[in-house]
Amino acid sequence: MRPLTEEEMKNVLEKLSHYIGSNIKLLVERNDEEYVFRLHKKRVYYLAEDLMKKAMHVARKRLVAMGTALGKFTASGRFLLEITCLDYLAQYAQFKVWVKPSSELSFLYGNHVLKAGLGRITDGTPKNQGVVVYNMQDVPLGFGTTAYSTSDCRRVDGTAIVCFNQSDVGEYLRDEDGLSSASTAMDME
Amino acid sequence: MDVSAILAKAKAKYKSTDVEKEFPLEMDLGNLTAFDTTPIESRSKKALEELSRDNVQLMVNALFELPSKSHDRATLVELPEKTTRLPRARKAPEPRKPTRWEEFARIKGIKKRKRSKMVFDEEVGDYIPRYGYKSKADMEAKSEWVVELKDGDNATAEEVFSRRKKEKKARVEKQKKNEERNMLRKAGKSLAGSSGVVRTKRGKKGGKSIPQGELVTQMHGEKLSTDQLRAAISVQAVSTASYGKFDNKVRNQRKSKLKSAKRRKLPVTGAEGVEKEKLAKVADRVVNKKVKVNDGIDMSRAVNMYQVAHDRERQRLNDHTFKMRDKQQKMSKRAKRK
Repeated sequence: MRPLTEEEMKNVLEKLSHYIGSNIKLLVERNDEEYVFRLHKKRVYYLAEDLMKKAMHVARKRLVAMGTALGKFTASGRFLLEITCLDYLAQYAQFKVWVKPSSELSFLYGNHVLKAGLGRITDGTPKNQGVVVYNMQDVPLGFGTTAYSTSDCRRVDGTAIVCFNQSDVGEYLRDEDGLSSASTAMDME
Repeated sequence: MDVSAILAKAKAKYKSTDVEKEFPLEMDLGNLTAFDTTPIESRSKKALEELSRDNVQLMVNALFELPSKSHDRATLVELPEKTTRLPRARKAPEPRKPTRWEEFARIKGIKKRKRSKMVFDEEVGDYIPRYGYKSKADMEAKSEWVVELKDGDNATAEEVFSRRKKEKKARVEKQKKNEERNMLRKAGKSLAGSSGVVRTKRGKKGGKSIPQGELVTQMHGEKLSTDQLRAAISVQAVSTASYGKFDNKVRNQRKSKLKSAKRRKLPVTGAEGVEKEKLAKVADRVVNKKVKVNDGIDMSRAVNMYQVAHDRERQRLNDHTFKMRDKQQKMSKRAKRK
């Protein structure tokens, strides 16, 4: 476990800002409690400072996770968000997409959101914008990137993909092993 | 439909939450810990695992008995006060090194007495500082226009005053020197490193390679300690452009533990302030970069707004033409009827 270097901070914050824009400042400077970003086995965790101090007592080899895993660094140093960060994205999302109940399940299986399944979309969403996907009851289901801007969405036909699925809560079942560094920990021992 | 069978089947898959225990566990729920003081009956892996499961179950049961409240789709319980004290994460800080005076006072057995800072002066008729600015000595020194000469002192008036000035200057300088020496003692390694070595040219002496510096073993008339010298060498060893990579090494020279400032990473804890500052700076940079301002105009946003406005206008026109067409149709129908 260690703090992020400046380069890593940039990567993480840039990726987060793709979804929550300037709200990243609210993550960095919180009024309630001191929170920190920590890197552990290629994963970035966001956690309260006192929890981090407790986690320090666990040997690096044995430490599986702490706080909220935001995502992981790839071998080439790129940062990918994981579904575990959804709570924070949903809290601060600037652009949102709502899916109709009929295509909710399809999205949870990892499919993209088609125009036919699009219930609502935030006004003025640009193209290629990171969005958080909700169902019509406002429960966050995952996140993705728009393929069309809000105005273009009106024009396209029903089978066109309007939002690419990047991560959805179905991954908790589909990718249970990959979501924590527990498997990596086994490899290291 | 009878679901009791299905329920029973599902239940049979898991162990019961009720655990029988002769002696209760010592719980410290604040730390999420429980201690089992009962002697272990069997050391087999299976028995130990089962015992741990039961104990964890007991602890979880205790957790569920705590008063709970629900918050944002989750149930929360407030943990009680911690009862077990955990050892501190880092070793305790070392006591400060005593200054030269403190060392001297200890040997001599001089005890510090508490003296009030202000003293009553009968001449002034008020409390004035015992020493320093506006103290009696200070006031006297400043208002001195006549100085008593000692017997046999033949100095002129000018000489007397310049001599006093010089003496004062010397006292201040001496104190400064003492303070510096104390700093050196206190900092031990770090300060000594910067002043223990004077760089000379690279070379060989009597067939042996020497480091590119000559050791100065004394400072302010005080011999430097082995630790201080060692620290000095370790600083000197990395004080070249290549961080000492291509320098000649002395026999038994220890590898310098000093690293370049560039590579220094933040500690896991202890520098949260610095870390937060850095984060805030990076966040600012990221946020400012995100808004691509082109001559004061956010291009992507402007295009977006134009597109929305354009769409609305087209929609309005469409509606208008449809309305007109409907109107015309109605009119023509009416005309036909007539």
